[in-house]
Amino acid sequence: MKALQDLKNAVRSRSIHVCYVNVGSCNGCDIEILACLAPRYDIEQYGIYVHNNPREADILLITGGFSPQWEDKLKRVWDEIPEPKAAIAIGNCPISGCVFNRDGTYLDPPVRKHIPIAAEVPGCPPRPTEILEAILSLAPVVFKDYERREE
Amino acid sequence: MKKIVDVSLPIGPVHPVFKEPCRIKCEMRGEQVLSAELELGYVKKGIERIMVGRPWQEVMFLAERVCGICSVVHNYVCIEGMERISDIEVPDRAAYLRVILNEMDRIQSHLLANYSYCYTIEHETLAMYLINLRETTMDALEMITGARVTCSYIIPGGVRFDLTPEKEKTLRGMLDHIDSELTRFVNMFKGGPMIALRSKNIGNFTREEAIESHAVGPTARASNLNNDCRLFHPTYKKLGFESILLDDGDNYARIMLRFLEIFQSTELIRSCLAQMEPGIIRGGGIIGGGTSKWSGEAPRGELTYDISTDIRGRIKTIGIRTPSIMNIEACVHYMLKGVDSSADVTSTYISSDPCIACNER
Amino acid sequence: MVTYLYERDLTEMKLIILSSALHEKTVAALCKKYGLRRQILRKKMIRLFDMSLLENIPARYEVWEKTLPEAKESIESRLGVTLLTQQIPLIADDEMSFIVQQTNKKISTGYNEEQAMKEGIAMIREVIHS
Ligand code: SF4
Repeated sequence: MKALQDLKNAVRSRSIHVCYVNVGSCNGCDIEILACLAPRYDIEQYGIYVHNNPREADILLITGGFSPQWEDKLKRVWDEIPEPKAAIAIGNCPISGCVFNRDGTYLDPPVRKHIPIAAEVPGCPPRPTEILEAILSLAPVVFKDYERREE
Repeated sequence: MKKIVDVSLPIGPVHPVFKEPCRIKCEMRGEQVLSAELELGYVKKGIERIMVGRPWQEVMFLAERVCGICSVVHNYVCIEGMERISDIEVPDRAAYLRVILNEMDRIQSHLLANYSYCYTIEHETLAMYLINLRETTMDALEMITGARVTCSYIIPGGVRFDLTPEKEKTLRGMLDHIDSELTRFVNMFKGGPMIALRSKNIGNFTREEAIESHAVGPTARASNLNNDCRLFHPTYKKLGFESILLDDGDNYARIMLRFLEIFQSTELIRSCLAQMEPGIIRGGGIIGGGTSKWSGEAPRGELTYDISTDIRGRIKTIGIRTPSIMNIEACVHYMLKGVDSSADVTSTYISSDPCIACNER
Repeated sequence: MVTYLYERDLTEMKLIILSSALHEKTVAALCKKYGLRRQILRKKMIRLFDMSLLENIPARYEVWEKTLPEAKESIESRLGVTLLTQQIPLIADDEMSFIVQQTNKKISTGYNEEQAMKEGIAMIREVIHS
């Protein structure tokens, strides 16, 4: 099955679909993800498509420290994504809670507690180029030879 | 609000056109929306609760993180409110620099809002043009302050960095670029029959409804209701500011108004640059105790900070009223009512430039 | 009653909205005006309003406050008719007009005006309690 695997590798390296979910951020990280779409960074030249639809996504970008309303919903979104898949935490919020992790907050960071996170991009907010680089360097690790590793 | 309906359509919380999570529940007859409800709570952070008891040095940064899109204006209004409590004078040059930064932020935010609208009505070409133009604005912000988002440039008694002559020259170049590019895009928007048809006479919002729901900002100004806070701001008064009004109150008017305001903002920045004189940018001062209520005009409308501090400058109570609170309510309860198809629900919703992170704080 | 997929009980989130500083002020003002207990008013609001309207209550109250100086001294403005039917719609139109009618009738039959107002407010309180 080597030929088939090679074909899959080739296709997957040029077609990464991304979905982003905001689980309680300040919007700063979300707009930096949106900025990646701009022709200046041109995310599509690397074969990355932002659709925001979990059912056809390969990579889930998470922004924001976890707000309690998401408890069942984030799990659901995560389950809907077909294998192989990976989640990247964008910004300080999902990693540590950023400035919101103080007395009186309603958030419940880190997101790592709720779904498995494959990579983290710190920054408040990180630059679009950093987000782009994280996706590009994570994708081969997760998708290359996925079926062969499964066996 | 319950009525006899045939279809009830929930949209969200994760939906391709929403930048942020929220859930609109529409009750429809066929494809016509009878009433809509909004469900929030997905990004509730409790910033007001965190702020209580903390010194202003921390609150300043927390205030910026109420909203990442218009972080500059939160910084601006929060600091001006605290300056008013403790009678701190701001040097002239710093006041102008603040206005420049605020208008830069407005350009950026309006471009993003119009980008989302064009993206929602599936006109991707125009959307991409607009978001690329936004990168120029972000460059200008980065050049002035050193960061793209959350730049905490404004501090009590002044601003952090000066605008050197070389930077000023680059800034002028960028403004010219924005003006010339945007003229082209606005003509595309005006002239494109598909875009205009898709936007005119949809999501109607009358002046009376705007008054009743206390709508603010471009959403209200597109319905001919003038409650622009810049009219009362001392620095803007010096610049001779006049707000722009349109009276159609539909999606088209709201988007057009934002385009027109971008041109106005570049003009304001130019006149700031012309009036500015060299001088100090940091006057210093000490934050004391007291209460104040101060409003400023955010890209989305009137933003109010109701602050009371103790003698050492720690926050006792704070109430933040962001523009999106009023605008989203107006959008969901008035504009969406009577919209003819479910495809227009999302475009009408986006046309009011909702920002859930502001709304929930 | 419409039922949705994956519906959740939102009472807790709505209560969080109502506990911010600006909301506390507005709710306290309403309670004082109509002699209500805070718990009861909050409960009624949570039951009737959706979340965006709840967030907007302080601003809407302010709109009504601004109209106060212009409005002439009438039974309607003293009872806060527009406040309770339009700005913060706690009471249905017909119920409100019934209350106004009753109060007007009492005054025209030679009742003491203050007393009539008090009873009118008591009727409003009844409706909100129910
Ligand atoms: S990391 Fe910073 S910019 Fe990003 S969502 Fe959190 S507070 Fe906002």
